[in-house]
Amino acid sequence: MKVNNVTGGYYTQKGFVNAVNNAWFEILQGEIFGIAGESGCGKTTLMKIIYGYVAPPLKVIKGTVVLEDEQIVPSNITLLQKNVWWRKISWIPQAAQNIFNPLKKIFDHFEETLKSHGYGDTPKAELRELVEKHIVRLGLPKEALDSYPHQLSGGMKQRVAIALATILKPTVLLADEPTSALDVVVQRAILQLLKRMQKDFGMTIILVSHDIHMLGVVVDRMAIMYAGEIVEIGDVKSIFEEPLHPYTRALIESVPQLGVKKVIKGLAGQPPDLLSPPPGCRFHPRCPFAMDVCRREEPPYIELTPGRRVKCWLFAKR
Amino acid sequence: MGLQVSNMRLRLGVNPIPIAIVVIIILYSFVVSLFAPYDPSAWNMVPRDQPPSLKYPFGTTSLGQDLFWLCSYALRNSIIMSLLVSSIGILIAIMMGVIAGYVRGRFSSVMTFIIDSFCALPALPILVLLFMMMREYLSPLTMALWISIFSWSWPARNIRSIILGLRERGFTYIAKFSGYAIFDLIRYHYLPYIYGLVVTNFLGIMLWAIGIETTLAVFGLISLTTPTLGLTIFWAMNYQAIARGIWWWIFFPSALLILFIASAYFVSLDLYRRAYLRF
Amino acid sequence: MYEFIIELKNVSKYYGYGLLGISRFAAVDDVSLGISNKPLINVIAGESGCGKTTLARIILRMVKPDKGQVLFNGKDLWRLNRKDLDEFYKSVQPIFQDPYDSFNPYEKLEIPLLKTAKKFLNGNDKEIIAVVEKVLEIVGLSFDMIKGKRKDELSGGQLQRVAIARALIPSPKLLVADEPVSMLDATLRANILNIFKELKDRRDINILYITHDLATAYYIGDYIYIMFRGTIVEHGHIEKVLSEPLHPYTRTLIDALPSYEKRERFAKEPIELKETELKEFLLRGCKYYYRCPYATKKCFEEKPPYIEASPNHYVMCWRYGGSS
Repeated sequence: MKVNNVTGGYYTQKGFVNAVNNAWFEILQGEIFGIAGESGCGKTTLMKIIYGYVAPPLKVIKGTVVLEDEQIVPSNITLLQKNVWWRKISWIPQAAQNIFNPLKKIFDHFEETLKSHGYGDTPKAELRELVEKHIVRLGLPKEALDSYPHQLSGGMKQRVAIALATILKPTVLLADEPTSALDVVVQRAILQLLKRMQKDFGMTIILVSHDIHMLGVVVDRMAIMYAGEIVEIGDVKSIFEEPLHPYTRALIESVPQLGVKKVIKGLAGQPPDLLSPPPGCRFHPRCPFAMDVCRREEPPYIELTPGRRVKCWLFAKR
Repeated sequence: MGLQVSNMRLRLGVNPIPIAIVVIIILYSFVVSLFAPYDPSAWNMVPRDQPPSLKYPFGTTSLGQDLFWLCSYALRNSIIMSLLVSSIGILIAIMMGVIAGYVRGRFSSVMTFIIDSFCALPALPILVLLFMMMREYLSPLTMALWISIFSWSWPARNIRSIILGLRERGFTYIAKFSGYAIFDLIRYHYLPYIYGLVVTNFLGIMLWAIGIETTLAVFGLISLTTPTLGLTIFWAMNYQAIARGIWWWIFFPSALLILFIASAYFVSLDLYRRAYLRF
Repeated sequence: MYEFIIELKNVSKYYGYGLLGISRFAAVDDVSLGISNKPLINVIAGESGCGKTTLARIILRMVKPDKGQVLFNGKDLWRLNRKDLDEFYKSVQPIFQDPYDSFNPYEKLEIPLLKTAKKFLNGNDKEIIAVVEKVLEIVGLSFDMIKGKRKDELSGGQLQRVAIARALIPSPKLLVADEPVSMLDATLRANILNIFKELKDRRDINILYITHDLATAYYIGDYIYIMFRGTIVEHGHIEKVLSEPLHPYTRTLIDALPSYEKRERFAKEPIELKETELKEFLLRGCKYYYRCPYATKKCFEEKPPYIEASPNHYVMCWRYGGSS
């Protein structure tokens, strides 16, 4: 998948909120790609754009998104809905555990999805078999299908939501904060589930989260996002062993880790208001290494090695 | 003219026509009635059965009353009575609704049962029975009191649901730990949530009360001394006004009633919207 | 002064399930613990659904236990007279998980602070504002920063700080924080936790920190209780428990903490989470039976006792001794 220089945002009463600015990266087939960033950095907007769900007030000003040879952005939503969504790309939004209709059993949700995506004539027994096979393959109990949503725990609902999104074995799966509001044990189970889908179905997964350590467990490559911009990209080993951008370093160090008792200072300040972001590098007000040029000019993308990019003046050669 | 009105509507957020009508009617009933040259309810003050003319704008009745002054006086009494009903009803509704929503356990079940029972009572048949039995002792005050007994239960129900939901919110518990007494908590945290409901229901109960009182009056089940719109219609029917061609005796009271209730209803809709937009 | 500010003695709380909610399971099953007067950060850790939030509500007098006693300064929490109850609401303050739920959407944020100050402290307006400014300073905010703003205008991190500031106004002895940072971004958590640490170190305030994340627990905690399905399965000093975990569940919790270094291990050692929660709650014996790699018949039938495996380090597991 290729995201080519996408800039987009929301038209609001107060002006244009530039949620995604010049996003440029590619996602390789069969990999798990992570996008790390705090709340408000634009990652959900980026996810919506990658999915193709561009409806007002969201507008993509420039750039394209291409999946294999299919144009996702710009495109027609009705066409996407018919041909692409759920079949080629599937999107698990935040708090996916809440998507279920409290009055319907879990299996009914699967049935409805399958029927509206080409399985309209298949007999119920066959559908049931298909769904059961899928559920069991993902390590979930069959009994969940006959339960009502309120009978399942949050973690179980989340995993069922992931199963529902992948019932048609899409090529790409977008997961937006799949483990927020869940505890670490269930989180591990969900990451396991995603990894298994990558292995068994050859699925490409794009994982978005504010917890960089959670991403470090499963992703192959990762992008760091701040204030609407991709500030660093690389494979997971390089990012963790040699983080380049000051923000990446802050993300890694500001999360308490077991065995680390020293005082963590965390990042001072707040992410900027995307309605009027700071001039030059958007991170400069919070950056411990900010130089004069950072305040004046937007830094370029610097490619240190193929696939390893950082957007920071510290790495620009004069 | 139409454009001006809709502009005003956009600017103020309210529809000015119903408000204008309501204001005019209220002025008519409260202010104009003060200038009546003679007691409007007294009989034989003016020539009978005169059709509407310049001298008698609404005509006169078979009892020798000037309908113009009579209607203003009658409408005033109807409005006052409904105001009374509404005030008492809303007060009871808030008290019952808040208590029922806030307490727990058995007490709450009992309160809820009481509220629901009152909701189930058919107001009109019971009032008909009551007033028939008490006809000699009826005065506007006692009528208002009896009618108000049936007015509070539905708003109380709604208030109860709102309070029930608010009971479990984080800020309720925080308020407890902040030293708020119960009344403080209710007044500060919960009242903004029920404000909109209370305002619309106040007007709603008023209109309902006017309707009930008029209906009872048409049956003659009301104090025969104090004129209200319903009583006027009662006398008109009693004297077979329509059959005798004295159409204005029925027409003007009914028209005023309908005009008032309809406009007031539209005003209440606007108030409803504004009450929620206020915050 | 009583030794324990809050003491729980064999506290149990049952909830109904199934059709009409007639059958019961124990959300909190026979829990005893004591929070001493010494300023410490006590941690109750466990995954979601283990009963820790119910336990927090029992301590905060929001839920009445079905069995057992809750003592505040030696007196039964549900039998206090007016004066002692006021004392309770002054000494024990909550911080809830969702900062947006702790405030009324209609109110300006300085109002709850000012009102709390007025209720608990006697003083004129100037003194009240001084107190409010002081608590805001402790949490890293200022009066001007929040004046006139409603809850939607602040970020989650800022709002949680305001909640902590409000809790500090009555000069409490114990802060019960139920997952105070779970809803915040990972990068903002350390700053809030630093506040808690400072409150314990500099202001002698006792903190009960409830969480599912052992990393943050380790970051600020002194003593830890590990909870699973309504029972406390291990407790002791946090250094000891997290470096030498005895109970298999503690090990699971530690293992589940995500980090880049664990990639290989996560891939090679999958965990199983198939049983629905309810079945685990209903076990007569050890509640960890279904997930435990060392489970025996005895574990299924009999609930193990607390065994002091080393000084001040207790575990509820048959593997460490004990007889029926």
